[in-house]
Amino acid sequence: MRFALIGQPNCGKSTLFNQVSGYKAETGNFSGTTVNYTESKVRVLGEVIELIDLPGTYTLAGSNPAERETIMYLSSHQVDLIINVVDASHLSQGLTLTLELLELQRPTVVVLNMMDEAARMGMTIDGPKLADILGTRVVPLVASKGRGVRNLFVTAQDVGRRGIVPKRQLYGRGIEEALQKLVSQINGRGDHFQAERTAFKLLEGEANSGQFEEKNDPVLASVIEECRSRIYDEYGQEAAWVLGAERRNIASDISSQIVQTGERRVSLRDRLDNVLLHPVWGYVFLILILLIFFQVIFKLGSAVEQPLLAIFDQLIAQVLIALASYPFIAEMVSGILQGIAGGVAIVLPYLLPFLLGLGFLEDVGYLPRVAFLMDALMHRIGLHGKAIVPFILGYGCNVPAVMSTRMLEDRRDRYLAAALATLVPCAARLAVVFGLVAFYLGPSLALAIYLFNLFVIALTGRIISSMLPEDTPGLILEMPVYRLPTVKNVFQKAWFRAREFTVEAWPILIVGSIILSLLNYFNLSVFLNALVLPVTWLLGLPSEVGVTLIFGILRKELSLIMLRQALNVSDFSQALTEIQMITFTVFVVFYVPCLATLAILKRELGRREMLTIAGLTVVIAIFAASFARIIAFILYTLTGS
Amino acid sequence: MDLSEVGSGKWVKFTRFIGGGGVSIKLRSLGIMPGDVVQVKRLAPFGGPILVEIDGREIALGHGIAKRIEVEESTRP
Repeated sequence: MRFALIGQPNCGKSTLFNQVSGYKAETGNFSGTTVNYTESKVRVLGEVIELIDLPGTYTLAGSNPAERETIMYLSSHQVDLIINVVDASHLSQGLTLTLELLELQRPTVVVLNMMDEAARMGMTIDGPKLADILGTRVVPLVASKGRGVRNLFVTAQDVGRRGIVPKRQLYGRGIEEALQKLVSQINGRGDHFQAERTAFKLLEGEANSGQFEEKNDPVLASVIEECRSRIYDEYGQEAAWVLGAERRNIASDISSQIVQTGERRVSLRDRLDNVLLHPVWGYVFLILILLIFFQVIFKLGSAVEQPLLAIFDQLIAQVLIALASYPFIAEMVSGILQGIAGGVAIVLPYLLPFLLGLGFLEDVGYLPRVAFLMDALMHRIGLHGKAIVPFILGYGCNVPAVMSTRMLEDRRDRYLAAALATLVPCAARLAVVFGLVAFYLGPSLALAIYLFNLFVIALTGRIISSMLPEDTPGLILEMPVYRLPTVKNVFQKAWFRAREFTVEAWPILIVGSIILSLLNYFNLSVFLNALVLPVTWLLGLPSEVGVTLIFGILRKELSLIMLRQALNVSDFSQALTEIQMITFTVFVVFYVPCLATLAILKRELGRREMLTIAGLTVVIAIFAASFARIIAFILYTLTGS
Repeated sequence: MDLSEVGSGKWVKFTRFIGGGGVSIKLRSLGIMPGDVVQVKRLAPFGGPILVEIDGREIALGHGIAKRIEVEESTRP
């Protein structure tokens, strides 16, 4: 049998799914975390059941890709039972989707999730009465704690086996008459959905009403037109809105019948939001929270990274000695080890703590608040508030930053956010800025480079968004209540995302590393320098730094490490002028994201988009570095040093 | 009057969504419809989003979206 989980965003479908399937779906206190459907096989009372987690949707008449996925899946796959997950603490809202699902006339079980939260809000819910009204079985659940899961599946299996079809609610007379008329018109024609379901969709004017081609059927088209205009005359609104309003009225009527509301205290949410969304304090806390977030990750990361890399360096040194008589093999093995070390140095120290921290902020419900606060600012660069998340992530590592663009609805926004996020200097580029500029020229210049980076990102955002066709429609985002995340959930989520990196990006890192070893072995660095010569010449850098820029694509901090070798000095000030240091650093900050990021870009957006973004970053890097060079030149001439 | 002109704490009724189908479909898909009575809970500074409460749910609407929602004054239902 096949069960489909359907519910509104943030109602806990994926939490339930993960409870029974191990960790396979992404969850978060942020609506729309699931974009594609996920399948898993579950064993219930000796029977194997295919469980499908569909993306959250407020209505089956949805507009964004995640929402359309649900109706597409239902019309193209055999589903034996719909498990409709409803957030019990927002029952009236949740039931509107339930009513729509009942129109499908398929076996359905309604699950009231987050019963604990509803209880905290002082609500008592009469489940049996709801079951009576809807004509379905109703099961209570606390998915986050796994309470009620077994009972749910036993019930679901029973309903699925017996194929109990629920009754749908009746709507106003005008609508019912129109439906009747349409049903009699289309009855008898082959269609995956039943005639009534099609009638609903035709009335609502959906494009995806099965394989039905009303355009090729003038009789049907005229009946539809007649029905719609009659409804418009009667209700003064289009049929789609009338149906939506009817469903909602019925839903709120049902909810008022079965819910007893106790005393609602001034909620924690209001008190927290008074501070966290405050026009002044909100931003103070935002900066503070992000500062602590990065401080902790950076401290943790650098504490782990150094000893880890030391171990690898030692290992590589030993390999080189042990295989000294086979220089080719030695070079290859050290290449592989370098690639593994690269992954270890990115994943364990920075990515994992980063993902843990992010998962925590996400599950608490803070990220939508950040989106709220930053929306006005993000509009200046052609995006909206939700796109702030990739930027925050970018300062740690561009890989999760690009992954997080998935939460944006529009492809245009995803593309723009990903392109801009790769310009954010990650922790590895921080190492270059600190090791070169801060160390030799002072921390204030390092800060200046960071501010300059923000300016360039904003400028790029404006330019790109003015070239992209449509404007971003703006922010529509539900503010979830604050929830205390469970440790298990946060860890599983971090692990799930880290695994993505390991599978997608790490192998490429290792292959790239081997290629560089080959180049090294055949002493092709002269060739590499020649390859980058146009750039180094343009920026007035010594041609020897060319090879370090190529290595930097593998791992950004390698630029700095290789620089020592390429210039053959231990003190950079002997080989580079101050202006050259600034130019080099600015170029490294902007040019081509590392291989791991490129791999993720390719997966999220496609090969062509990845290449475009990579090319764009080179252009931006050349402009930015040239600009920095000119400014630095003017400043140093003026101050006479 | 549109939603972007409403002060914090006020109750208003959504009367009409203006402009492109995309926005009204998006609002409908969130269960927001003409006829809804909502309370404006917070305004973000610098022309940022407007936070409204509908049926116990809080929803942030960007300034551009708020400008497309026609409202009239209302009282707590």
